[in-house]
Amino acid sequence: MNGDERMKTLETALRRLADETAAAQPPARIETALSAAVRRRRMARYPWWTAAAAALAMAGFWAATRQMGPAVGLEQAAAPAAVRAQLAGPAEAPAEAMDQPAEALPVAKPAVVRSKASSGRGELSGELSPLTPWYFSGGLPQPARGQIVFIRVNPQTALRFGVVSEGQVPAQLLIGDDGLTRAIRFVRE
Amino acid sequence: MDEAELLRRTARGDESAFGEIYARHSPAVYRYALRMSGSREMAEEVVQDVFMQVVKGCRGFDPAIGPLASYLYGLARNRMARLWPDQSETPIEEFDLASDEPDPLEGLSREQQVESVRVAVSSLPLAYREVVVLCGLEEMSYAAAAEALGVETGTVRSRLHRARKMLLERLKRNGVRV
Repeated sequence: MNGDERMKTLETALRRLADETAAAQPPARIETALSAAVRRRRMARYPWWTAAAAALAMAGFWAATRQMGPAVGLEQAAAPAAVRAQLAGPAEAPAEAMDQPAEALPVAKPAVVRSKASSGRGELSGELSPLTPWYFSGGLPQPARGQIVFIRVNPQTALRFGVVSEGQVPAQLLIGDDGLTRAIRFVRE
Repeated sequence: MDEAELLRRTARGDESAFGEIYARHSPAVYRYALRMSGSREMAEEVVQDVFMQVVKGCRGFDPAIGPLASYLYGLARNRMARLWPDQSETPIEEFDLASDEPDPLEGLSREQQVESVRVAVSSLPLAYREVVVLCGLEEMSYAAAAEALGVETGTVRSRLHRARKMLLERLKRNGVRV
């Protein structure tokens, strides 16, 4: 037998060997283990404190919603008149009004009757931005319904309303059911 | 979806992306390791190691250099070399089969032939065994095998030529009917 024939026989034997293992597959448990590693890797990208922070944010949002309470019915006869009286003057000259000292911007006590459900006091603190500039809200329609939100405003914001304070100032916001702020009232602690 | 994107998604923890890569390449990597080692346990270990690199995103993979399949073969080769550190150092024997010698596989049953060739392939030095596995068993082209092995096409051709001769020699030496 010459070399070429031997090589042909060898090639045939190699093909048969290839056929024997052509359908070989790794066992399924390897893919299962590797998929678990992929999952662990995904979980590692979001460490426990991320989930904890998300849970805290949810809890905070829930608590804030509870403090705001259900929508407060406003006594239509009293509230619109008081709010109109409060907003009418400054809306005509906002620039000058901003420069006025505290006593030039008297904040009228809003005549709002709150329901018993929202009589418990709670507060929101933080930045007031975006806050509808009070001197732009003069032309807004009177809200049929709204909410009173307790907040704390920082000294810079309070100064814009003529209230001088070194610390945060507690206040109440009257927010109409359209989401726009109609009035603010600062509260003496 | 291209394989680089699948790798990126896998590294971010996308199981479906990993599943797609695994389905495409794991059979070939497993067969390669099995044919190189002759051991299912070792082939499984190689597959696990190679695809663990995939899970991590194959940071060394550059699609501009070559396809993912070649990169995975390279990972498998490295793993095999670590498993058998002495294999690459095996000296290459010089031999010549006289043209009038009988075929060492002549007269064997199909099963005997397959087993004899399997043993002979397993005994080849790594550099020769891998060209036999890739070109002779995986039926890869010389160019594809060269890409997978990181050598020139001519090197693959010459190694394969010598590997076949070595196989015949080893078959004869192993007592296969001469």
